[in-house]
Amino acid sequence: MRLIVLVKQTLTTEARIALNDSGGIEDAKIKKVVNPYDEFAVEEAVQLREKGVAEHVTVVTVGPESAVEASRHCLAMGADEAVRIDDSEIESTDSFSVAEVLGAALKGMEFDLLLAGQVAVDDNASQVAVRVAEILGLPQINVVSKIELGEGEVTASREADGQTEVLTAKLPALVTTDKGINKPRYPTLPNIMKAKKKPLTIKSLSDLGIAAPTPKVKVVAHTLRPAKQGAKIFAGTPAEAAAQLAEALRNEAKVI
Amino acid sequence: MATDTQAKVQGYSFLISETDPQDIFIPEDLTDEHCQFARSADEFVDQEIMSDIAALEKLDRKLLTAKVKKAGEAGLFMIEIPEAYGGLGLDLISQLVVTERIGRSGGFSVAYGVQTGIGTEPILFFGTDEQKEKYLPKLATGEWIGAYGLTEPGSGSDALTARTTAMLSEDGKHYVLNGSKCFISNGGIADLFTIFAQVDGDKFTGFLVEKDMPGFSVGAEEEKMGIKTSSTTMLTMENVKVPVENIVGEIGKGYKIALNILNLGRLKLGVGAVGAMKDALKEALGYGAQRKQFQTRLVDFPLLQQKIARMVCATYACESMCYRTAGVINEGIQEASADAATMFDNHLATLEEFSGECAINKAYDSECLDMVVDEALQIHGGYGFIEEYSIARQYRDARIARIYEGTNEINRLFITGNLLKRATAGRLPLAAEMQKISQSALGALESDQANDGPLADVREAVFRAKQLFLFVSGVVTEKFMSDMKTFNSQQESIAWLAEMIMEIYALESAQLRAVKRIEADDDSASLHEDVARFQLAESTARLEQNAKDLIEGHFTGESRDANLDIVRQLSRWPAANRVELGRRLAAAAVAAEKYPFEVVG
Amino acid sequence: MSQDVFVFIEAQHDAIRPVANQVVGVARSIAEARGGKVVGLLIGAGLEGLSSDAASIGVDRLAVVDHAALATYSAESYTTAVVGALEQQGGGPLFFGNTSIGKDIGPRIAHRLGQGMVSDVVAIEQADDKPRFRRPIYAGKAFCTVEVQEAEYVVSIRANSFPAAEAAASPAEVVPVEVNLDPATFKVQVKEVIERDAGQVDLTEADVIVSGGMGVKGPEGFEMLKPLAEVLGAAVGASRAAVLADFIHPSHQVGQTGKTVSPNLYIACGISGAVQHQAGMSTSKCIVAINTDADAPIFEIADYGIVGDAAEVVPALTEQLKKLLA
Repeated sequence: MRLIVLVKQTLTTEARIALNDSGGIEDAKIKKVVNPYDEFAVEEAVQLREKGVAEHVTVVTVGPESAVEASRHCLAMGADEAVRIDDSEIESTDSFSVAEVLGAALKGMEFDLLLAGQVAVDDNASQVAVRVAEILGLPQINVVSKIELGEGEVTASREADGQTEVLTAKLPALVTTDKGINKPRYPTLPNIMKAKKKPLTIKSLSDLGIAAPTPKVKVVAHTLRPAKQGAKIFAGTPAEAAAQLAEALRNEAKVI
Repeated sequence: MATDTQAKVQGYSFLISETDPQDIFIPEDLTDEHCQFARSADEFVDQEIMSDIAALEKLDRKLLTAKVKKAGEAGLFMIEIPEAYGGLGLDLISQLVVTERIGRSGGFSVAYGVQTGIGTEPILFFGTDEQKEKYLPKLATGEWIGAYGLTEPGSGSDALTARTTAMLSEDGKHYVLNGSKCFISNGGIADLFTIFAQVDGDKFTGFLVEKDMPGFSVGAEEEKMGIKTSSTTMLTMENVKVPVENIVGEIGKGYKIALNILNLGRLKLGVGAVGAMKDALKEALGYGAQRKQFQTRLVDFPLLQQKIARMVCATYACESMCYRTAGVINEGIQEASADAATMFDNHLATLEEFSGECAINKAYDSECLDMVVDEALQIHGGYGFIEEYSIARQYRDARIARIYEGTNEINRLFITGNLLKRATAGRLPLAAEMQKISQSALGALESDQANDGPLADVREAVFRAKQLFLFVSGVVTEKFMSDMKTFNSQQESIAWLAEMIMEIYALESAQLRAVKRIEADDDSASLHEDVARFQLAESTARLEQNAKDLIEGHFTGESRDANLDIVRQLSRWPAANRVELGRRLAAAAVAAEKYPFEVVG
Repeated sequence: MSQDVFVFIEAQHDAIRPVANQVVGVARSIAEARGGKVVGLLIGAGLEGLSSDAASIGVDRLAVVDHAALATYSAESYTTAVVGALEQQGGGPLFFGNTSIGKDIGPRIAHRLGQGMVSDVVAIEQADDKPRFRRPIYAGKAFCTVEVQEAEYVVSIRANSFPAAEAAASPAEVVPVEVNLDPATFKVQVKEVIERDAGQVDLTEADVIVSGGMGVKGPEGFEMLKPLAEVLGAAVGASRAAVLADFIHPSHQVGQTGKTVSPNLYIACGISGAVQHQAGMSTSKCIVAINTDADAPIFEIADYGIVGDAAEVVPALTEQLKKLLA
């Protein structure tokens, strides 16, 4: 059984986010990592191969040249092969475009199970993997905390609002991973060395035989979360203050 | 003074020649692969050590052993061991980047350092093929843990006078060891010990002793003030029968092992200190950015910014020295590796060549570390003094670095003594350079390099600092070099000369690195310039003090006045405004929330 | 193409989810800018009861796909149903709540229709022409404004980010829609649905944390926090001091030597907010401080505060929230 994992390179979650001179997110000098949710997917895939359920794990990423570090990281985690599709010609913040490119790439590849993180920690969109499944006509099980691969099918527990759904999908299928499904390993020195000998292919859109998709959405501005100003204090009797607080939490902060 | 572009770099040659910045290895030269190794080690420290640090600090041998095994699984012991013996056969730089990362793990870094250093290297460098086949694969994976027994209750810095005895058995198959060793790192968890003992009373020899050999016993754990994660015990040997094939190296040549192994250990200790400095700096920055007093973040107070700048600068200088030293040694080792037959001998020759630089890294870096953890704790205020913050542990853990692998005092004596010995033996044209100074009209002394280019004034200052050293060491040693007896009674002077040597190496390494980055058009070139100038201010103040103390210690009256006058003339330094430089360096560190010159993301 | 705007009306446990009312409100402002109507899409099986509820939440028309194959939610069948209904009703922008169903089928529908999608929207910046939506990125540390490039698109909105639509004076017209669904062709089978245990919420994953310090005065103080946590579906946290004083088990400790948390809402009760506590929770989206000492550092990083004894304020707050969330 062959597995493909979609991975994205993101800024580390500890990064302090700032805007650059052109109003974009400043990413120079900020540590880049494999999107943590994608790392769960890679770990799951590698475990499935180690258990002997799967034979081969390929990681596919769409990204700039620097994203090769993400590819290498996954190879050093145990993936067998990596493909990076260069994103310089496409609008990389448009999930439609990225999915189209991935769809084209995956059409030429043989696989039984497609894995990905359920969300990327940078754009928080949760779109690309599901769109790819739609392009390829794959059934999906989204946001899962447990995966079992069977004969021609995959069973997974999906974490939905307030309930857990156990679903079985016919292969080939897409499964997206949630946190808590496993503890991703870090690349060890011997595995870093082994990874150097594994195939890492770089593809351009022309290699895939497609033109750059026309973006469906465009990011036109970025803003930062405003800094805290000190607490708004509610006075009065405990009941009065509590009432004001409850109201503010509901209608102003919108957190309940 | 020659520009040392073509000539092969020798130990101490930095004192008498100028170096092309392009010829030194700097952290920014680390390859992607080195960075991957560093990140892997970082992950190991975070996931395996820091996550369990409270339990580890209670010294749980079982847990510590488990963590050592984990490090083995992560391949962290394999770096220097050749592939043929289950290792990865990587370069010294790889070992350094990993050792640096492990350096922040406190007591665990001791277990690590022992395993990869004195636990493995005696076999690696001096072992027979059979010993290598038998032990190296086990040490590479962490299946076995190594340790090293040199120090005894009655011998520390004078280790070669050990009293443990080894007598050949009547059948000639065993040596019977008797004696005890103390302060043995990894003592309580190790499976294999390199034990030094006197054969026939005076032939200092190394033996590979397995923990299960009858008569061998491990004492109780020492209660230490720091590195509490690590195991430190006594070892006692009562008629331990060690097979003759377990002699490591030659009978009576144990000193070769003991001395040579130290060199690399000292460099690694230096780079481990760099890792610990970065960690303490990060703690201080993290705390200082969060803690407010008078509605102001601590990191916004200029007085604390000056502390931060000193910490950044010291880290930069030490880091620059370590990787510069590792660069030349690595080159030597790579060349040596071309011929398998002589490989290990040539490795040792390379390490011996740069033993002075290794000692500099050990002493200078460990003292900088002490300054850094002390200031980092100070920035924490009262919170620094309670155990909830890790800085208290970091402070304690740092202290041992000035003591083990040869006390810093021993290292000072070695740094100067070794230099003078080489000069006497004609290995280094030191005397000729000293003479040039005393003969020169001081005003005409200039470096023979073009007086422009990045940081030209700092380069000129480095040149002048060397002139200062050559002058002072020339006039002072003239007074005591002739007689070894007098030499040994001049320990203060020897130590001050060593401090000047260290300071010059630190200053020059920082300056060369900064120039190399400026020439590479690094987008933080101006920050590199700032740190080089800050180091200039730090170093020159200390150099002048050493120079004055040396002259005062040996001259009186007119000759004192004349020599001090020359010291003053040589001590002309370019402007270095520590207020402005310090604020800029601190601002960069505060913005980065860590050491701002970190190469590995 | 019509000028109409479509809303996926999500139901759970036979009731319209509150987020659906908010989605209708958003759709209304877009429909007004386009000069079209708001059309609700209700998907499921046995929808007679729900249909009349859904017809009254402020939509102009309600399209209902009622099919036995839709009794249990699955991305496959719902995607087909929504797309079928949308196309039969003339097409147009489609709005979801950013719920697990919205995340599951939103992108799938968008791609089937060849459309762009903007997920997890918290504000509309421009309703007419090329609409612009604001959405959080980098875990809420920043926002981006996204402009849709075509007239039809999909949007999912974050719950509680928009006011609910005004309920309709009279129920909207209900239009049954037939969609061809053959369960035999389904590639996904639902084997089991397990209602999640409403008990313990993991601290690090909790959306809401109610935390106690020395100011709650003892183990019984933590008992008092529990009803508040229950109302909010929150996990219970604690300061180091409270843990050291044996008020509560160390697994609840938040801070430097405890857990690092970043919930949407962090309610600190009787916690002074020493730096080491802040280290573990300062990235929480909204912080509430309840403390007797008005100068306690916790108020500096809090969004809302009440100066008072937690023993009095917490029960009062619990009561108020019970009313509000009922």
